[in-house]
Amino acid sequence: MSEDLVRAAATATPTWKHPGVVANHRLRKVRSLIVGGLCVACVVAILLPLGDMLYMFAYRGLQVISIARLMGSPISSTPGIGNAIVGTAILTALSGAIAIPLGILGGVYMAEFSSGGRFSEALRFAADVLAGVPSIVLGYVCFLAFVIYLNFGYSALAAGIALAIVMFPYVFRTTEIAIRRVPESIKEGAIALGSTKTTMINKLVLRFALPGIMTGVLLALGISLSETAPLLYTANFANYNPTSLFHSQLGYLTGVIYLFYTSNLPFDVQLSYLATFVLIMIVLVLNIVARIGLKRFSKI
Amino acid sequence: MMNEREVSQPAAPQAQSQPSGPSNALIKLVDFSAYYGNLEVLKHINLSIDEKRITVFMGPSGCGKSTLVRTLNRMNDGVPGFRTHGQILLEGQDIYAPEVDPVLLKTRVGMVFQKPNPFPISIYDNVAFGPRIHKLTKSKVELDALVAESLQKAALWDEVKDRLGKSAWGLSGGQQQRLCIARALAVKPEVLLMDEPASALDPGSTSKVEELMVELKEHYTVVLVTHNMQQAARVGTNVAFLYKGDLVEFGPASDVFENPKSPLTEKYIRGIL
Amino acid sequence: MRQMPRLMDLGMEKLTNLLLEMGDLSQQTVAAAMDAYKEGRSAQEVNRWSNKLKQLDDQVSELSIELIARFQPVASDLRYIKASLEISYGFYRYGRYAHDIMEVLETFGDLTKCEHTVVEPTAEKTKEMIKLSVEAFANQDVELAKKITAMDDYVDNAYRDYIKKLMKSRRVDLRCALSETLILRYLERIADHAVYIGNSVIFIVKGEEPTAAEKS
Repeated sequence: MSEDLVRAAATATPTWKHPGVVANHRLRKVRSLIVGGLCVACVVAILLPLGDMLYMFAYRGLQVISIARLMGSPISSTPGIGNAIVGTAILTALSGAIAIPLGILGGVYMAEFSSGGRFSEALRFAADVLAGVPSIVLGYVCFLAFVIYLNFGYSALAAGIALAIVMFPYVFRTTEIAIRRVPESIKEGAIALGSTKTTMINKLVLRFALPGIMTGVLLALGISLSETAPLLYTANFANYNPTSLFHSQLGYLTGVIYLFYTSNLPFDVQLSYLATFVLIMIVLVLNIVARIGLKRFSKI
Repeated sequence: MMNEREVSQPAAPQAQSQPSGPSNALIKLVDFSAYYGNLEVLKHINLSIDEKRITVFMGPSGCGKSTLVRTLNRMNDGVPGFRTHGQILLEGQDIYAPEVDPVLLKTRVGMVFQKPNPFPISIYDNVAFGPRIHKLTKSKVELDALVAESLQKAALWDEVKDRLGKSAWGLSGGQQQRLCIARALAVKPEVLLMDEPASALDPGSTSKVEELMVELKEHYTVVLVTHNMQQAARVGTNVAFLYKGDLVEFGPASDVFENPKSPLTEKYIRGIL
Repeated sequence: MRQMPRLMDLGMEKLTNLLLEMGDLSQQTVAAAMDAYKEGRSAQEVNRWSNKLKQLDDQVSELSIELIARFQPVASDLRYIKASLEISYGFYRYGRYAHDIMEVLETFGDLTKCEHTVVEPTAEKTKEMIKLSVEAFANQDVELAKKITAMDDYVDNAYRDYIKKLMKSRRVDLRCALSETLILRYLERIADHAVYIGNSVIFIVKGEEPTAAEKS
């Protein structure tokens, strides 16, 4: 009986000529084309409105763009968004100065020095939760804590702190992950040469993890550039440049976009478009710089 | 054809790894045991490692040879639950004594790993890493000389002398391993521990590393861990056979491979363990 | 749990079989030569077998080298191969001397008139030693090997005494004297090789050459 089976198997059509298999092959090709087509269609469906949007803002923004507009403020003779740009710059600098060092140091601690116990797990969890808290809530909390309780008033500092809190978890987590990705073998090699842990981290680990850390920093910066609600709570909005860190409001691009769009004054709406365009440009440039920088660093 | 044999003497060992001149024990393990938590991974090891010779630790997987070699430069210190009992004397001083600085120890006892692990920086910077952090040289000229010397000792100089600034990750596997050896030598250790240094390399690179080891033993004390018995037979001066944490046999390579004392050793080297 | 045979074991088994074949064949060859000598006839098969032994020795040589090149044997495997080369040579020499004994017959012609008083017992002793050498190898028996060494003196002395007696005697039948001397010489050499084979067996088992004390 088994000999018959063997004989049958020996004379049977080879698999690749089997009619069932051939038909299946054709079916597979068709299916593959359909699904591929669907994917492309989806991508186009998403990119089209995006392109349209970018075009609209570029068009409207470039209609009113001029040096004067980019330098002045909404209440100067040539209404402009100069103070908003300055304000955004100040806020980014402040929040970055707080969140980036803290985030990186925290990430280094978690990756290299923590013993992995309950405490560090709790810390990591807290950071993740913080990242998920709506920024408006964080803004409100900061309003209560800094603007009212510590009596900073509506100020750049309060806003800067609020933004820093928003940014911190991203820098923190990406730094930890980037450092954890440094191969153990590299660290072992350094230790075997008689390096202390700190030296190893400073001279080797950070270099190796830099691309990852930079990604986190840029991500955080991008987020801070796009926040509106917490800033409204903590810095209110002003049409002039701030005079001090405390009790002095300031303008910022996202504020212009939000507040001026519904204004009755016609120019304000124009400024809103301009601010949108400028913000998009800033984010674009940031990303380009990031990509170039990362490419350079990855070449080590 | 063979002649009639009268009374025949056993042939004197001819192999090149035989020492010329006498040697002292540089490192002595005295009743040394090691534990991971409650698991005893090294059991009462007594062993002498001779100066300027190649001592080989061999044995099946899990026998403790890698653990043993890592205790010699205290690389196991960071592992949770690791503890030791007994002494390891380097030139008479116990390296596990509380007053011993483990960081300094590693400058006397260097290590090369199984998988080459050059840093993602230039070839020059790799070799210069150790001297820089320990401030071994006072000027760039001295450092250049030290880097060149180390690369020459590792038989890599000719291949990289024109591209010291290039990334170390651009080298082939065998070259990377020799770079790691140069990097370890740059710190001027007395002992070089090599944990299966050739097992990730192709046969050509393996031969180069083995030849290098035999040259290095002129100036350094080499301790080699290998699971490749033929390699142990080729380069070892003294061979230790470990099995499940015990030191089963230890002696000159020609004795261990021609006429081992322990039946366990005999089984292992014949491949029937 | 049965140990899976190693790659090398196939070759090692072949080596052993070759040696066993050589042992039996060489024993047979020497016995045939001695019988032919006693009965004064020629035996063609002795030459054939002697040639066959040479071929087998070459095969052992080749196989040993192949095993060494391919498998890098160590410890008892290595000692076994080294000893095999020596033992194979010994068995080959048995055949060769048997062939030489036949040549004596052919050279000297009719020797039935000679006395065989010394040759016969010596031949018996030698045949016994050959048998012991084959068995010692087959069974890896150190005691048998030692026995061979003990028996060597008899054969040595038989040879030397015969020559001494010859030198003292007046009337000597040249043909008988020469042929007997040659035969005894060959028997003495065969006995020596039996001792060497015994020593090789000791080497396989114990890993070292027998000491001088053991050799006496």
